[in-house]
Amino acid sequence: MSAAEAASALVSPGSSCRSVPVEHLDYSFIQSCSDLKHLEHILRALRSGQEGFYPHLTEFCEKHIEKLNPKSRVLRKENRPATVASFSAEEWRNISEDLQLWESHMRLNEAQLKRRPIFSDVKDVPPVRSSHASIQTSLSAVEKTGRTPCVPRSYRDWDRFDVETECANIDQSDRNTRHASVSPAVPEITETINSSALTAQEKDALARREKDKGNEAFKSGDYEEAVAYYSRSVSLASSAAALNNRAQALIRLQRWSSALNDCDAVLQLEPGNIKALLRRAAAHKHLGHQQESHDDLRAVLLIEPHNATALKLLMDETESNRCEETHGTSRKILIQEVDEEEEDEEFALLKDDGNALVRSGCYQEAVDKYTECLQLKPHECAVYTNRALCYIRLHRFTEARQDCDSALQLQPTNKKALYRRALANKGLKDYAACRSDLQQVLCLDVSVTEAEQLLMEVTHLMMESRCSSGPRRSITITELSVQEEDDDEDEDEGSGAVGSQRCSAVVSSVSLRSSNAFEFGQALNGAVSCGDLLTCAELLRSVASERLPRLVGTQLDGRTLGFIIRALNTHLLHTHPELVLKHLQQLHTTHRLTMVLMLLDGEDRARLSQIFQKLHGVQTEAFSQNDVTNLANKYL
Amino acid sequence: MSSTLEKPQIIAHIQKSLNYTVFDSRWIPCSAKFVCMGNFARGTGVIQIYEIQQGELQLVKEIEKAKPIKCGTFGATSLQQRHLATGDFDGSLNVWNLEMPECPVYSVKAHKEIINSIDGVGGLGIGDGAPEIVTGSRDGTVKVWDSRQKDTPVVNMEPMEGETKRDCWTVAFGHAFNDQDRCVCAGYDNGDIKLFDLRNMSLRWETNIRNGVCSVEFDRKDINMNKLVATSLEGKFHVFDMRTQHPTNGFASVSEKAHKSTVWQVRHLPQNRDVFMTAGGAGNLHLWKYEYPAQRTKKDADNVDMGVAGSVNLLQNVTLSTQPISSLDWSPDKQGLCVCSSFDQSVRVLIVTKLNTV
Repeated sequence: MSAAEAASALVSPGSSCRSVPVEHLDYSFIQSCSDLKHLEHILRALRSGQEGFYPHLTEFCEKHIEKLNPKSRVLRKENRPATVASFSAEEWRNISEDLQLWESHMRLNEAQLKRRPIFSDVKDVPPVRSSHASIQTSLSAVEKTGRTPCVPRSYRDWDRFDVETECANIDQSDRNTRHASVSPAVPEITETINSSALTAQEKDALARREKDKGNEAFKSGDYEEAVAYYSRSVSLASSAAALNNRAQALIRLQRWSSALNDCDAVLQLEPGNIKALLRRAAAHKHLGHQQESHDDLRAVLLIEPHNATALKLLMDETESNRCEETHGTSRKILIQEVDEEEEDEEFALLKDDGNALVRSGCYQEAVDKYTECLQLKPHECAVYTNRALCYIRLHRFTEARQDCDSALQLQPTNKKALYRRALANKGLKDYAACRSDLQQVLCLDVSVTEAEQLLMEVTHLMMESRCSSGPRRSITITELSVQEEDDDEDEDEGSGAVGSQRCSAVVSSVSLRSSNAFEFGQALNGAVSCGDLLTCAELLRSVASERLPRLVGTQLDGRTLGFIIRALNTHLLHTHPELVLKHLQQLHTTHRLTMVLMLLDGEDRARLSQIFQKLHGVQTEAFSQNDVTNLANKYL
Repeated sequence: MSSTLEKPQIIAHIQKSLNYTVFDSRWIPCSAKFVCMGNFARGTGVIQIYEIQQGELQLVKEIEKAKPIKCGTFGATSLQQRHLATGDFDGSLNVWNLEMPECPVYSVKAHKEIINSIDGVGGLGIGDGAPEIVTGSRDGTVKVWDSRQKDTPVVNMEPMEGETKRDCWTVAFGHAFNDQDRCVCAGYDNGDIKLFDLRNMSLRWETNIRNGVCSVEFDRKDINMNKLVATSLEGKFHVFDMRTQHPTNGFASVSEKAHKSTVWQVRHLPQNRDVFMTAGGAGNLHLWKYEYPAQRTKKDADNVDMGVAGSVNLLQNVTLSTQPISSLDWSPDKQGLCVCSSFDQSVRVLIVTKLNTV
């Protein structure tokens, strides 16, 4: 390195011995170099232009130095003063208008000042400095390194040496050496100013100046001094700002009661002053007045709901309060149900309180908290769902359902609301609504396992309840496939069911609306195979006569027909004779009936003639005896 | 460009060419006017009063005096009277009523040689106590005057008999926070800075910064002395933290190299004591902000308190002319407005923006 330097010194004798080798004037080198001093040398070398003019490299080097040290002296540039052109039109207008306003204002002030009579200017001025003092200064320079050369006396001088005078001289010089008087720690600043001879304008100006001095002292950390200056300002002209600032300085000095007095004074002058309220809250807190502190913070939040300091302090307070009321039980409830969405902070605070209470099991208080939340923000879906949960736990299902309804009004696809409404409905035993809610949940999100389980539970319950209610005959569904759920919808509408002990086999039921021959056939076959006369009768009853031929159609065989006849005989004849007749009439039009009739066994024929005889006996308007006779002839 | 616009900008609002060499310019308090003092080519002194009107400077008054005027101050008068105290090339101190400038209100032959610098305290509502004027001269003495006492200074700070006189180049008042306390700081051409305590009538502190001291100023005159800035001949200035005085080390300081030339003036912003501007010999102005350290005092090896200096940041710098800027004055009524004069025979009114967010 030194050889290179020496070499470069030889080559370019004009450059300094600390010159930078040419290899260093390179992008990659500059990039990798992190030694600030060396980079500054490089930059100087580049700027001097000795090695050539490389503007891009210079710029690159400057940027690199700026990254390392933004305050580096080499980065200082000479700027031109700003002119109109460097500002936007708006800004320049502001500046010039401001100046003109100030000019006119000053002219007015000056005119006012001149109009005042001169003699009011006489005030008690302190007297002239009493002593005509003269301070003798010794102009010996104080050398920090202390290299004052002490010239030794020559031999001849030693002859003239007089001990006494020399000692006296030493004493003299001792007296004359500077005595560093260290100032007292706290300056004696008078707390009040004699303002008798000043006009209101002067007093205001002075008060403002003292307040500025106080502000500056505060900024540099001299709180005692700041308090003194603020007191001076207040003694001249009491202003809310000065009192407020003094309160803050007193808080920093931890003089809580004085700070409290100042805050009270400010609030008397300006009742809505947020800073004063916050400071008073802090003072109260440190004095131990929790309640007043709380009140003040709440007052701040009333005025400014988004005030971060107030919220933070409030949270700290409630934290400490919560720690005091610890609960013994720690039942863990499904926590994912409690929403933690962040919206408004104060509102978030109350909600968090509520959530915590839910977690710890105090549902009633949680309900209250949520109610409070809703007072603040009545359109908050999450709060409704949370409150619904509390109600559910408290078994107040109606209210829970209402809350879920409100939640769903705000957010129609809220899964939690739907789920909880399902729970509420279950509690209220409204299983249909419950199931529909659950199905909606599953539509939105298939993976919600709780919904599925609940659905199955509820359907089960529903079946049981239907069993217990007698006149409603519904078919029990014991098939456990998933497809059941789709079928279930249809089944709700009125399939009959019988608690058939015998029927253990798979029984499919048919809906009224199913116009499918297959289904009808299935049902019939099922009934026939079970010997289930009732089912058959029901089927026949529910089916329209006109459709019977089509529905029965190809299924018709001896056994089936016999069964139908038996069913008609036993069940329907008493109740619906016309229907029977119609059915028979229609049946007759079926294909192959004649064929099948031949296959009927004797018992069935007997029954058929029984039917006709009974029909004969029945007197109705729907048909006449002739019809019956005709039909009987057809059949027999 | 956007990032630079967030820094304070120095706007050269008005510029006026004068036909004389202007040495000093001062705002008249509570008005939109300022005075310029200098000397005509014919060797006579001049005081001109200008007023800012709609972005232009209007000459209100021109006063010609026998001797060239070097410096002036409004520091020792009341707000209503606003008398200008001037020091001239002849060593005379005069206090003028600008409405009736024919005859001075107070006049004294203060020094044998040119008065280099002048300062006042106790007037304008700044500083309690008697209004006083301090002058520093090439004859090496620093004298404090009270306009109620004729012919003799109230305090005289002079070199001892037989000592060589060093020119006093600058003086400043400070520490005037109550009736009795007051300090005068003087800077000399050999680099001495001396701090005189007028209450105890003693020399409180002295140091040497190796280069001639062009300008000293306390950040505020009327508080317990907080900071002192001293500028020097070779492009450096020092900021002393005046709160803690160590018996041997004196005051802690931080120094900064700037301007690459003589730093002629330093002036603190009246509305914010931590912002100050330095004027350089290359016609440039630098705006600085002082940052306090975390702890302003610390204990040294012997458990004695000593001060800790903070740091200085450059906020903005502009180059106004090629000639040195000899004087600079902030307006006490409007934050950011300042007047500066330079040796290219011109006076400029500048506006510094964004100082309230500094």
